[in-house]
Amino acid sequence: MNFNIQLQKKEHYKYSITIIVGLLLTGFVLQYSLGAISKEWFSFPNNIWLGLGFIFLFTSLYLLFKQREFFNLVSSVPFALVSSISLGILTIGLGSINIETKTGNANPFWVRMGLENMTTSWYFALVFLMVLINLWVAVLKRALVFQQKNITFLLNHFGLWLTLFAGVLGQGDLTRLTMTLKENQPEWRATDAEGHVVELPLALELKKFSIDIYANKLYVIDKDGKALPDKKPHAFLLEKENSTQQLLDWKITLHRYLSNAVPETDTSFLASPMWGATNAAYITVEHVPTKKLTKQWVASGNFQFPPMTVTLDSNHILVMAPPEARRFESEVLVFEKDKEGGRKEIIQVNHPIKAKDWKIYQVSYDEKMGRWSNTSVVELILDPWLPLVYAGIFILLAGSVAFLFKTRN
Amino acid sequence: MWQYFSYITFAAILLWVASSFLIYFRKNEIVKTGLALHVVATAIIGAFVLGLWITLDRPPLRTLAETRIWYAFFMGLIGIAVYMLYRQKWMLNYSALMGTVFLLITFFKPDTTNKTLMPALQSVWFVPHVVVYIFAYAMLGMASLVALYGLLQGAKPGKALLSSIHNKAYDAEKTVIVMDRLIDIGYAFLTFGLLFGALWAKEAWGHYWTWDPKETWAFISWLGYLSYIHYRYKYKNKNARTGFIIVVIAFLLLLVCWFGVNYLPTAAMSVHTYSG
Repeated sequence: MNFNIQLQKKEHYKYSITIIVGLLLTGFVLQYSLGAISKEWFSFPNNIWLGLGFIFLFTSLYLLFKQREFFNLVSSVPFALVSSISLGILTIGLGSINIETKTGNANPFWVRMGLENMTTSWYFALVFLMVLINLWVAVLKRALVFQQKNITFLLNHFGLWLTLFAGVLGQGDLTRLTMTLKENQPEWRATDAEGHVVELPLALELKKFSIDIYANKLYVIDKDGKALPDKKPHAFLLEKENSTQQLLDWKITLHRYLSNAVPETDTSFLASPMWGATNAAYITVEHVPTKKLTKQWVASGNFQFPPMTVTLDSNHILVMAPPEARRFESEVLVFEKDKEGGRKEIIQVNHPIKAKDWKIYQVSYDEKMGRWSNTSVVELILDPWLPLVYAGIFILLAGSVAFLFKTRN
Repeated sequence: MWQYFSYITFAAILLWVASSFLIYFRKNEIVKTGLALHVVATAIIGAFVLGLWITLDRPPLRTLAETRIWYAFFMGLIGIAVYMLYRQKWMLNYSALMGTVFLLITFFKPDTTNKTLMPALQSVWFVPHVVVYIFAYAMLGMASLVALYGLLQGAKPGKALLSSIHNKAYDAEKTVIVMDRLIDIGYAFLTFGLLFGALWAKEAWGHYWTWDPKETWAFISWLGYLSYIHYRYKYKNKNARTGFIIVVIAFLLLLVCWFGVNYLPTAAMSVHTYSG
């Protein structure tokens, strides 16, 4: 008796491995002859048909043939192990191989085999499909003979299935567009990754772009411009006046920090809210071994004013780095096609806004102008499948919580 | 607020240390006192976070030092929660130890208060995402140590490797039970971390999954533990060795995800490598 069960388990592995290897080989051949899978397949309305087809096909096959050994196999743990380990191995390739397609040095064979974009390759897709079938049949099997002890199983497996299923099918409908906004100019055109211009049913008008900065940092650099020490440069954040810090052999004391400074003379700065102002600090530098003191202004400089530095010795220069952004945001008016007037919104990193079905993200600005940029770059993203993916994610989260409770016993 | 930080550090660590001993006493009241001290230590750190929040007039999430205080706080909190669930006392010790480490790093390296966080990292998701991962890694790291012990001991069943720590003979079944418990908790938290990361990515980068190398490796290591859980489910009473080996491999994958990613050819494309 025991021996029979043992044999069957071994058979399960044998068949699982045969199926996956067979599909991988088929995938390699298809990939080589047809190239990557087109995004079209996963775009509306094809993705709806694919999705419904999957559910209808495998549900009815299961209901008709659930007694057959084959369905036992594809919903079995050995099949789950073999398919998820295969997916894992392919994913290791995906996470480790980086083919230089930009430089044109890549071997055309590997490019053809989809190594630079494995997720759209046939072999990846077929293994992924097996994972989806395995999850779906396993869910059906447990859901149709519903028992309370199966709740954790169902939450985890259905949640994962829904996340993967909706995530893959929604790929082609995901639209990412970039829009460059100029102050006080309404904009309704955006460009996609290939540079095609798209007209949108909504418009944005940048009213104000603003950046909050962190206080600047001082660094010691060598004559090649490299910050020192080599691997982990030391920095002095000019946050507190009268604070002191040693960088290499030089002890620096900050007397005054101006976040908005303009040159007063050739060697001094003045606080001023003027447009295009730079950052400056009045400091004392003490060369520790010789106790030699220097007192002077340093400035980071920007598109308008040159930087001011301290030459420490023949190989060392003290510089003020440009400020780092603490926060940047665009104040915009949002106009939607069928609505009167505009509404005011603020777009920040990590705080996208919603307009129609789009989510709008703060991406960038005119970096040369820095704080004084009157240009803001935003990204508009449309992802109609997101609610399904989120449903999957939240079910999976609930499944993990249930798993924590279940494992207690 | 930071001027009080040294007092907070000392008070919390002292309470945690006292608690770590008291919970092992026989008398129930003393055990309860020990538990209460753990809660108080955690609450003190929580109060400090709140104080920072009020005095700074923003969530204290902008410097690495600020985020570390949150880690210490949540380590204490998770310790209590996991203890309530599983009634395993050493889990309190483990979480207190990790909380202490975060407090001490912040205490001895106050210069890191100078480290500034870029806007993309300033999010309500930052702390939960990192905290659940730290906890998951801690649990899974511990599980791997248990697995290594099981492997070494299993190879030399006659010799008790840890005889100086406990006098009992090696029991493969018990070793597996301890490891499984750690893996279950670690795996659940790993799932939280992965999914919180996806939800955050949608807010910060616009999409929940972009096969960024760090994401890819997080998925791989998650699959590793997923495989172990399925293996265990199927072969509950089989020889423990294969299970130990899977767990060690899964942890190696986790290490690649943790810091190995930075050395892979794909690192250049990652949004998770923060330099400077």
